[in-house]
Amino acid sequence: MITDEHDLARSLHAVQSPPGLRLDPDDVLGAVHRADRRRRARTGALTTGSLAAVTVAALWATGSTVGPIGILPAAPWAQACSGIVDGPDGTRIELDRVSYAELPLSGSATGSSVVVAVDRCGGDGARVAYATRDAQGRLGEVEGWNEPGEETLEALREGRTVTPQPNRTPEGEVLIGVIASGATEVQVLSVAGPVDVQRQPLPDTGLDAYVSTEFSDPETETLGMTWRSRAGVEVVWLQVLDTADFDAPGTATEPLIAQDRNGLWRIWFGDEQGVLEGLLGTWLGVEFVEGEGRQVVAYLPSADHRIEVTTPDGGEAVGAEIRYAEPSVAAGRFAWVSAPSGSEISWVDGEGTREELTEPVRPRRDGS
Amino acid sequence: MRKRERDEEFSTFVRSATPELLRIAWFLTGDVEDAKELVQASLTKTYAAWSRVRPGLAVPYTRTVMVNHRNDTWRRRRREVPVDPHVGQRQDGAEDPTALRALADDVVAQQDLIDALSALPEQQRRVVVLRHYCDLSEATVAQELGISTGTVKSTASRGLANLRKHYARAKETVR
Repeated sequence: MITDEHDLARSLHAVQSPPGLRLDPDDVLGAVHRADRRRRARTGALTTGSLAAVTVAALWATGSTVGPIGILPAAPWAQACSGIVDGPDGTRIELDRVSYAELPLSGSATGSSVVVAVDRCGGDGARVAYATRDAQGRLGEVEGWNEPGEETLEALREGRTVTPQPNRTPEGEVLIGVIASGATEVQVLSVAGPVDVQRQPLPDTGLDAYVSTEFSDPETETLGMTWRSRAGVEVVWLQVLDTADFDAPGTATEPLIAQDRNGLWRIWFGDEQGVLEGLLGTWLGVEFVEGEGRQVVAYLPSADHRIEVTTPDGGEAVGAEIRYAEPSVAAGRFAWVSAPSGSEISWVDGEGTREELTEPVRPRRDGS
Repeated sequence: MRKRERDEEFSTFVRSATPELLRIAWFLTGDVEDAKELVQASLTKTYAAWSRVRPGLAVPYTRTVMVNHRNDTWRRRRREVPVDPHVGQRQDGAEDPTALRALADDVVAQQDLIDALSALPEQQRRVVVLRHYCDLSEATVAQELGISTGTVKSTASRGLANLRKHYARAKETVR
């Protein structure tokens, strides 16, 4: 039990390192030197190829594009990692050497903006960084950055992943990152409800920069992001304890399920959001009114429990679909039921005891 | 500085600092393998900047690189807790029940702490580790993370409160 900060410090110092927490210094040094050689080769710092790199840069500067186009860089930011630079005073963005976009901030940060930059670092991987520009137009130091390797960069361009980074504003936080230009239906998964996302292209990268509107407290509310790529609906989770994935076909609108840091299971389905509150040892379900028919997501306490869908007279409900998803840690499993309106959805335990989830009364189209 | 001298200096630094950097990385990531990757990646960056790293400041420099490093992808937390296979054995190789029970208690308590740390939001975890494990002042933490001292103070306080909540919840679950 942690009582105060002294106790916390004492506990942290007393923790024994697990036996596997070891690195052989020779292996580390070997890997460091190999990585450094690759980096130096890319940046033209090695003798081989350095002259060609200098020549190409000079041609670009004069605007000439003589010679085979293949040997010319695509843009100035393709030279080394010279656009996002580490220095003694921190990291800074050289705007003329990167592909960048500038997006206005909202809420308590209105008047300032965020600059998101991508430095291609010569082609093998990249640096992505952001910095805020204050109301006086001054660009600050880099506040967050990462270094996606070539594989991650490819995944970003193809819309298989995103890089959300929470960033503090005077009275809240915003989510900043880059996403594939072709991604659609970008949504922040937040307890707070719908959060708008603004986007702007990052020239010649196949990526867009994005920034969300200001949250009141995303440290506890930002749970993830979802978007649609060519492969279907994608999701990346941020501050969650556990998740469950139905692995539905790419075209389907799939419920997205995550357990927040307070232990509550939260479910997003299209524009709706539900929460499962109660004891996880019992049947818990939430019905969404999205679309036609019944859409139910239920938590079943064990793999012995199942869902059955029937017509009111006990016959087979034609067109009903049941999918199950197992969380990584929690003991039970989730069921997602799509069934025609009027069907009976029941929870059946291992001994055959049934309990029906009554269909909610839907508002009529005239609103009554 | 000549390359050979530079490499020797860096090699000495790696040999002496790696165990401590690994512990910090473990607290930051909550996972042994992720911690190793983080240290390796951070040392690679430190080497690239070695000529700019002032003497005596290599550990803070690498620590700053580590705390500002973000995994490209979200990873699920692992549940396995590696333990030394020889602990809980007597010299003749037979199991020692008392030692095994003590080991189990220790592992649970340690894992609770690691789980509690892992459940914190990234920034709270960074502040808690730098402030309470690395024993850095609020001003130094602020400098390493590029945030204000006030933010360090409030983030550390929220971190501690969240750790308490985690333990309270864990206790409820045990009941």
